[in-house]
Amino acid sequence: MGTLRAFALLLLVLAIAGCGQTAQSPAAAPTEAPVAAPTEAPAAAPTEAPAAPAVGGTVRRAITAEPTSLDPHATPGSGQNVILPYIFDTLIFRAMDNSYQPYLATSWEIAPDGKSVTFTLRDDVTFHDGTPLNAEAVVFTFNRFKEAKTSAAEGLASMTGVEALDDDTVRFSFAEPSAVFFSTLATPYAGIVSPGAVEAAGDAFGQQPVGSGPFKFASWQQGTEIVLERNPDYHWSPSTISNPGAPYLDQVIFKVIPDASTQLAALQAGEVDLIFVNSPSQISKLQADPDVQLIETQLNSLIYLGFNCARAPLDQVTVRQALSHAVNKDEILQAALGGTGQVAFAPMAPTLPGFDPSLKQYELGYDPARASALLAEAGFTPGADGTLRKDGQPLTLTLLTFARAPNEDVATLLQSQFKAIGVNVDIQQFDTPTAAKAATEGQYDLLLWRYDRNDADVLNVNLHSSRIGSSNRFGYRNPQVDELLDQAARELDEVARARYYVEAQKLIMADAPWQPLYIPVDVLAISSKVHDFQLASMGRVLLNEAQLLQR
Amino acid sequence: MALNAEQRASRSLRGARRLPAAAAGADAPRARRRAGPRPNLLLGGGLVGLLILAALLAPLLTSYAPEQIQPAVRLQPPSLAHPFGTDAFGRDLCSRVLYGARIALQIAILSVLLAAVPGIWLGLLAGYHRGWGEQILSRVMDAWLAFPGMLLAIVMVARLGPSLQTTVIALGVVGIPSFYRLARGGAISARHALYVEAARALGLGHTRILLRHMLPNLASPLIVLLTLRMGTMLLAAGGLSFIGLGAQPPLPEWGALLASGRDYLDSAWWLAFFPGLAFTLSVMGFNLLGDGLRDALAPDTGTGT
Amino acid sequence: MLGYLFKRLVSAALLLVAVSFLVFALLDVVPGDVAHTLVGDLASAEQLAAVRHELGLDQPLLLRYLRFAEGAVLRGDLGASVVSGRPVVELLRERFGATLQLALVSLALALVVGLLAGLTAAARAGGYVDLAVMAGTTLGESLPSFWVALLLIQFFALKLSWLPVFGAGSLRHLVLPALALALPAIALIARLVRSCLLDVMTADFVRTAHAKGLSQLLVWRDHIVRNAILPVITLLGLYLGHLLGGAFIIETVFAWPGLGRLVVQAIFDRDFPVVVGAVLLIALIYQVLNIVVDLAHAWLDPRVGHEAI
Repeated sequence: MGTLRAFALLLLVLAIAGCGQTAQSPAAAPTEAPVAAPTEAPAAAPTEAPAAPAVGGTVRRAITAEPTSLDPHATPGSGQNVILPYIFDTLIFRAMDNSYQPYLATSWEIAPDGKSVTFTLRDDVTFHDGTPLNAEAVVFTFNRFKEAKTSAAEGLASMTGVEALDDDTVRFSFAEPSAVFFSTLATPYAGIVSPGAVEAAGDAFGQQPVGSGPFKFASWQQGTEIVLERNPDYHWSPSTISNPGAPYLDQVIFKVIPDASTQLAALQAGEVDLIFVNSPSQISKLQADPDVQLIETQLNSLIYLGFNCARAPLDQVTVRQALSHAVNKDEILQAALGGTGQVAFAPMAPTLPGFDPSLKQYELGYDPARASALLAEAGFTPGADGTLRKDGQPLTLTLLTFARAPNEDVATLLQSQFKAIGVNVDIQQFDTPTAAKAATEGQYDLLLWRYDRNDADVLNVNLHSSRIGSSNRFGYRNPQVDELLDQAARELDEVARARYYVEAQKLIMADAPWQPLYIPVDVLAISSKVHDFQLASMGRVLLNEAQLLQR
Repeated sequence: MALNAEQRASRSLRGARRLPAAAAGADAPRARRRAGPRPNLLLGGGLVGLLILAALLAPLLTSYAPEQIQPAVRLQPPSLAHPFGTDAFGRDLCSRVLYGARIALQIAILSVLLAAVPGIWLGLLAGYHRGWGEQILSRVMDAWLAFPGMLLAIVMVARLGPSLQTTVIALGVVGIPSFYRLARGGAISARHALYVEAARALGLGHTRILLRHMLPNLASPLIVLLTLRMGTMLLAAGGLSFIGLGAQPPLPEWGALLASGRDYLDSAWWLAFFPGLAFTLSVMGFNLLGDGLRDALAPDTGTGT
Repeated sequence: MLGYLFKRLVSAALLLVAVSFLVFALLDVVPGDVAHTLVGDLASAEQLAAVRHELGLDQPLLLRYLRFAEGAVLRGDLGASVVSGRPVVELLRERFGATLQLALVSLALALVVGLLAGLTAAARAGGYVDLAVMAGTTLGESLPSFWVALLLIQFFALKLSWLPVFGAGSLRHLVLPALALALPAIALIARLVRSCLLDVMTADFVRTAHAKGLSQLLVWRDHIVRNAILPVITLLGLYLGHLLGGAFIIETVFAWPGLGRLVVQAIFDRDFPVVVGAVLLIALIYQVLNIVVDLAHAWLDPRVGHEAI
């Protein structure tokens, strides 16, 4: 009898401990099929659920690029989207599986004609300066956001107005239904700003941001660090976080360290607690370190090789298809990325709606024989040295990319893969603004590029013919694709929208303006002293319930 | 006239020595100094010679092509098959370092020539003719020199797009003022020399005077500057590679090899070691050679940089 | 003396004008502009054009330069960063202190180590010690700076844990970056000191002084050091100018919040006002240093002073 009772007690204890676990898992759980599951962080093993949380301490995070402004309506930059989510809250929260959860808005209603959306807000939220976060503040924010005309505000293109129906209700109106609206609302750039603070600070708001987030802005030492402090009044965490109140940490400090090797050394020396690594050598070095946990984050991004469809010889679809067949994606994944990430076949990232595994059958896979055959069809014949020639001219293409790891390595591999079928490639790496300009002006044959857009309308942005001259850098024009993309942009029903995108992708893959290469993974390296951090969509690291423990 | 500080410094020292020398004609102590510099010349010359040999004989010394990617043998430590090991793409490092010697030599020689030829020509003209043209040119050159060299190079590479050629051009352009200064200084000192007066009296054209008479007198400090600059150019090219503005893949430029080998210190030490060794020895070679030449060819100038 | 000073100041001012115009012109021909940085990757052609118009980038070069010059000279206003909107003067002031700190400490370090090395080599001239010291310092100036920085971090910060890896803020943070920066200067100074000392030590006026019975120390102080100091001061002046402008590699690796990093980032961002402002500042300091060095020369060596002035 005693043994049975003891056993039952044991089971009970295990069950409780197990319940403590589930609060952690949504953050780390993988989503639809092909995404590589993030290695489960040892730290996600629960601190015993009923124990008191360790309050206090500072988490130091390294950033490569210092933001120029912490105003969500300023130009989007890589330093910014890392820091903004700690300071500002958004109406809705995007969970790891890309679904939308209530955050500042408790519920929302989409009108039957899709031309307006009404949000009901929480009534107990205050800004860091004490003023209440109400419908007025939301209206102020979105008018300012739309006025700013940054590329982040593109999702508001068809928004015609935003009004406060009462203190806690806001309605957005549109010229036509906008499928990209919700994902825009969840980006850090749609964070709600305090109207009082904006009016008081004027242009300097970007240097002294005031939001309603779990951490508030404390100080900024230019070139060195940005310090955020706990917001003690915070009690409106998104539902995926089990700590409903203020964060346990005292401070989060962002240290500016431009050099990747130095960031690694700093982590190993214990001078920072959190960095992102993306080179295979750094990853393997950290794997051996017992004081560091490595976690793969999931991004809605894609690295692809684009072709300049407006320039010969890539204006011929045969040539594009041939070059696509010459790409060995597995070699790239292994050699340049050390196996981190996954090979891609469709223009849509697997985590975005509109992705369909069945599209694999349309992939132009690695087939050098077919590549050579197609190029021969297009009139290219090998010369004496193996280089393909047409009308006596050797086939030499320029590959343009921006100078950031691991582009150089990927480009080098592509160069050697193309050389194997007789195509010479010259690599040109520029800093990002120059590369972007050259790309937009079509000064390239091959473009090794990347998108990080968190919505399926990434195809509209990049491949719709109306965007030729701005974000459609490929000169790609297909009226049928345009039509499908337009319909998808207006379709609010996720399932129907996905169908349009699948159809569009079939056409795109046949036209081959892009050869999708791989889905990048950002690897988070975090000190094992930090417990109970969570990962959210778009590579965010939430520190609402993070605690610093001595291992 | 505005002598620059360097010239004044060396002048002051020359002055210090000439007076007593005229009085007492001491020359025994000099021998003590000669013994020092010669190792510089030998060592420096040896290292530079090694660089040239490596560059010339690269195809004979290795059977691998420097861009040959062989994923099966990535990150191998040094062995008989691959004396310097292989890199992350399986490329033979020894081959890359040897072919990199060619690139290093190209950078060093071409960029220095690009700096020296216009610099010296303009400097000679300026120093010889003087006048308002020289004033303006000197001011421009001063401004040029006041501009931090690396920044100028970065801006130029940003304009022209990174590549080996652009690196050479940018570094060359940055280096022009130093040669200008040297040549101008020499021309100013020499324009009243007896042989120049004589040449003018004979009716020889200006160009002839400059080339045939003044230039050879500058030969010693010129050779020293040329040699030293080669080392500087290599270092500057390495710096450009560090920020990604150097020669593009798959060229095995040493600076790029060093930059990419940084992360492998623990796991693949050879990736950083061999290119680093080659790079450092080459720069050292130029520096030692330059110093040695300075001491051997022009002991009287003593101090100049 | 005053007349000379005045001439030099005018000359320096003209130089600054030349430099600022040179920068303006140079930046103008660089492709890509700040509009891309501001509006981002996915901007439409109209958005870019609108931003350019707002910033006045579509106006002719001369006009833009004159407007800048007017603001700079009359109001001390160097414009505002196009990327962050903050006044350039403020940005420079924040970063300049850090760069100056690093440069001065580095220079002091170079001076001390260089002097010692040069003295040692001169004292044992012709022997193995001389060779070792000179080879050692030459090695120091032949290593690429980012390489040295990396090795220092790996050894002193990671392996030995004596010093911090990155950042600024305390004396300990200064050591590694200053050391890395000082290495090339050490070689230059050591070589210079050795050379000067050898020249002067064997000069006859020294032997005369010895013969007159002056103590070794006095001879050293009054004659050798005084004469050897001049070229060293000159070199220091030049090198300080270099340090102030070009230390960005060290600043990047050590995450030192200095001017070099600011300028390089501004070049990449096409943030022209910041680039122009920073280059002007560096050129200004360079000129000031040159003038100071010249005056020091004139003061220390009356012979030279009379010639130049």
